Amino acid sequence: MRSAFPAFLVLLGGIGCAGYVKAETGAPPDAMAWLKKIAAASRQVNYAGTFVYQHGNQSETSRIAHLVNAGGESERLETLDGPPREIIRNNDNVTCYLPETKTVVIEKRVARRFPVALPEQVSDIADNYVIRKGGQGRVAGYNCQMIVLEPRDNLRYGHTFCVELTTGLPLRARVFSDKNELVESFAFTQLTLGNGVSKAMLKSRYAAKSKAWRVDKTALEQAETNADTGWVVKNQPAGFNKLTEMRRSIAGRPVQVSHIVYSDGLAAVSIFIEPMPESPPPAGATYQGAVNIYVKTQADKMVTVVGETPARTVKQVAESLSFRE
Amino acid sequence: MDRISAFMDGETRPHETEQAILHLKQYQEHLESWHTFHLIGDAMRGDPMLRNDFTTRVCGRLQQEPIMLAPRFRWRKPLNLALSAAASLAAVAVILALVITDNPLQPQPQLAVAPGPETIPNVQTVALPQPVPTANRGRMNEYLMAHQEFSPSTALQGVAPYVRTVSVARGVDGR
Repeated sequence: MRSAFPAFLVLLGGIGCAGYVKAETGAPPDAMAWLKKIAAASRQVNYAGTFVYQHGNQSETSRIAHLVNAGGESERLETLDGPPREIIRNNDNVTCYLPETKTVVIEKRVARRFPVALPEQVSDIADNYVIRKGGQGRVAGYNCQMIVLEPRDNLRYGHTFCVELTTGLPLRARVFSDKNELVESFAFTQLTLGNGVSKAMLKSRYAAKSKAWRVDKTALEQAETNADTGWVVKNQPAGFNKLTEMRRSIAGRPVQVSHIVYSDGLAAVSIFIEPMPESPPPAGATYQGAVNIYVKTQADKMVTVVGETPARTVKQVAESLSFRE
Repeated sequence: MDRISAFMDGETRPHETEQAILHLKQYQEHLESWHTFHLIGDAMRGDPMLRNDFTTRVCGRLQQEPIMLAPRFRWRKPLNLALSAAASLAAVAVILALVITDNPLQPQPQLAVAPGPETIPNVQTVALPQPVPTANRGRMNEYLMAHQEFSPSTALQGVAPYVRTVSVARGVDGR
């Protein structure tokens, strides 16, 4: 009976999906509206609070504050356990304070958001996930609406969001494997919304103290150009389309790296191809929360595939990568 | 009561197990303790809690399922058997999805089929994080950040790109 059980589940999944896909090719408009609301909220809502990030057996607690005003968007993130770290973001400028090593890392992060409002992305998500409204829940003292994105196959993870009713801010985001195990979760444990967020909450704890610290600006001079890299994925995972392809600089790399991104509307898989470094990392699969990483060598190149998808998806991409003659 | 506890922990011999089941069938209050013990166990493990009337509802649904009266000696196609079993499981799965309000994605965590050693190993345990030299950790961090700029799901979560990489960096310091 035990050994037969997984087979039943596979069968069950197959039957369930076949019926479901036919029944609702388009997601319910209400659930879709919620998804758009979530996408906008993370950038537009003022909030400050404490949240827990859980992955595997580990959990980490951080404090965050996010404020939007005439000057744009600012954000402050501070870890509350383990080595202290503080990240301050003002629009595209990111400063990371590492007090233990007395280091300041300055970076520029181009805001490359992919608003869920784009019609083609909406249809991509609906093609690959069954989107539906769940019940109502309560997180950090706020009532929230559950939104469920159930994958239509095992090449992507399932997602649930519990979304604050008035602002649309996700109070809890969970990622599930195809075996319905929790892969990672973000959840607020304490939260202030709207006018309760003050500028003082975004003030750096270390900016004044760090005058004499070492400043690392290597990540600042980044260049990128859209280009045909010559690399192709022969066995593209179903539902994933190419989002972009470029040659770009990456901090710590002496030469430019090829970067190709595929997405199914929600999850993305990145392929990085670089000349073989002097000490290449061990080949094989690793992961970080919901992000699976697959490293392999190909001819004189090192290939790194990174995606917030199951390991099989990044592996399929890595194994079917080839250089077009 | 000790016997119930031992039975729950799987520490009874076959004949003791049989006795325990008979006993539970006979004494309603001990059957209630049995449910309470499981509820406590679930709560301590942080498993999704089921509604009080879960058992009643599942039993009710199972009673509504057509009973198959297969003639004893008639040979039946294995495929049909598998399909009918799947159909019943599907009914249970639907109920579970309705009952577990917190995680509708989780169809059958409570079916109490402990994963035996012969079941398919899960992907995450196979892909154990390998120790990567510290020098390369930083390299991976940069790729994580570069990747997450393009990830729609990361954009939805808002704070994720920093959190994940802060977490990786912490792994280096912590080990």
